[in-house]
Amino acid sequence: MNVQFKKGVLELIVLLSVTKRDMYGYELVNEVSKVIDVNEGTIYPLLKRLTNEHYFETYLKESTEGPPRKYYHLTAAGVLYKERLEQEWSDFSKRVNQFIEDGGKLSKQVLDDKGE
Amino acid sequence: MTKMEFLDYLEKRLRVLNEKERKDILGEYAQHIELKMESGLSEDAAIHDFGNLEELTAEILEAYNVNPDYCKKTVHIDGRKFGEEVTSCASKAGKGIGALWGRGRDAVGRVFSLQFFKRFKPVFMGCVIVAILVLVYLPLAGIAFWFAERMYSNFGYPFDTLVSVIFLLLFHICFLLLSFSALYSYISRNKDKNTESGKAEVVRVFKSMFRLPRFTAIEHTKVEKRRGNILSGVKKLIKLAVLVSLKCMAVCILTPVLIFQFFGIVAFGGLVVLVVLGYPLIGLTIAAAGGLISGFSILWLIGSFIFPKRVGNEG
Repeated sequence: MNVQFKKGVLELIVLLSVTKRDMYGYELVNEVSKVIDVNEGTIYPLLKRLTNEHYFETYLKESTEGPPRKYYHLTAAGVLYKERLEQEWSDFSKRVNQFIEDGGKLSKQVLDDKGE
Repeated sequence: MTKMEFLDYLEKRLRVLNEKERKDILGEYAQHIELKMESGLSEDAAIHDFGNLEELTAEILEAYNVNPDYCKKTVHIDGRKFGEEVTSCASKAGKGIGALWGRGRDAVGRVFSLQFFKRFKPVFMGCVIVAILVLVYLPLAGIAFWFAERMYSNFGYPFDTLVSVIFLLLFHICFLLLSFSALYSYISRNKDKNTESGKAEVVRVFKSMFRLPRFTAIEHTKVEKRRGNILSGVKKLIKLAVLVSLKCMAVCILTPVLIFQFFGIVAFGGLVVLVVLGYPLIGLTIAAAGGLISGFSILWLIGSFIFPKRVGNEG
């Protein structure tokens, strides 16, 4: 699977995962891994970056099974950013798909022309 | 790779981050590995899932807007730590030199405090002082005369005799001033503190003649307790003589610079007037100003070396 595709879409998937409820790091990584197969270690830096840019808020919550866990919560700015990314993805994927369709017809035509 | 190895590696590579951030991100990774292991994976496999560690570290650093190539060399130069190490080494060196100096002085002082010399103390001290001054004078005079000779050959008539005579005169004046100050400090000490025991007094007098500048801290109490023998005392005396003659040479450099500074101020004033009048001499004026500033800083530097502030516990 193309690494660049995954990289491009990772942010969107992370933001979408936290929309329904706050999650802690490990939980989030598992959620994202369900959708795309990505290096788990790289999600933490991404979370850190998104927190630095104030799309996430973090808080610690005690857990029964070990040390306190850091939960990530989507801020209002994060929600807006997520919606923007969703819109951009939608437009982007539409155009790419359209181009593949048209491009498919075009390249077929070129091959036919050559063949003649 | 074990969890500890992994975390240690990350800790090293992330040293550029501040402690809180570093702890934070390391905690996240540690927790992730723990939870992975709870769900059945081995430690090794959990870390293996992180992929290439170099790339991972690069991504982490990028998230903090740090250039990933920053810590890649094995030789890690941390500016602040380097500065701290340099200053600590320098202060240790300074203390070492100060201790040596102090020991030298103490050893010589102790030599002179032997019972035999006590009777003729004033006379003997006078002779000692004169002897030291002569010892110091000879090499300096040699250098001064040679210098005067060079000046003589460089300048044309009538400046040749004039300059060299002035230089020699200045040198002798400085030297006499130094000698008198040493004698004076000895005499004043002698008058003030008659009740002190002979040995301590001699040592103190000797010390008061040759003070070390303030920036090398001398720890007297520690040094006085050591016992030196006569041979090392003589060696230290030679070292002492060299250092003192360096000081006197510095005075000889100081005085001409001082005189040039006076001329320089006059010249600078004249140039400013000319510039105001409209002559195109701005460059020369700026050069003169620069010369004055550097002259004054040289004076300050050498002056602070020769005339150190009195330290409370000395003398």
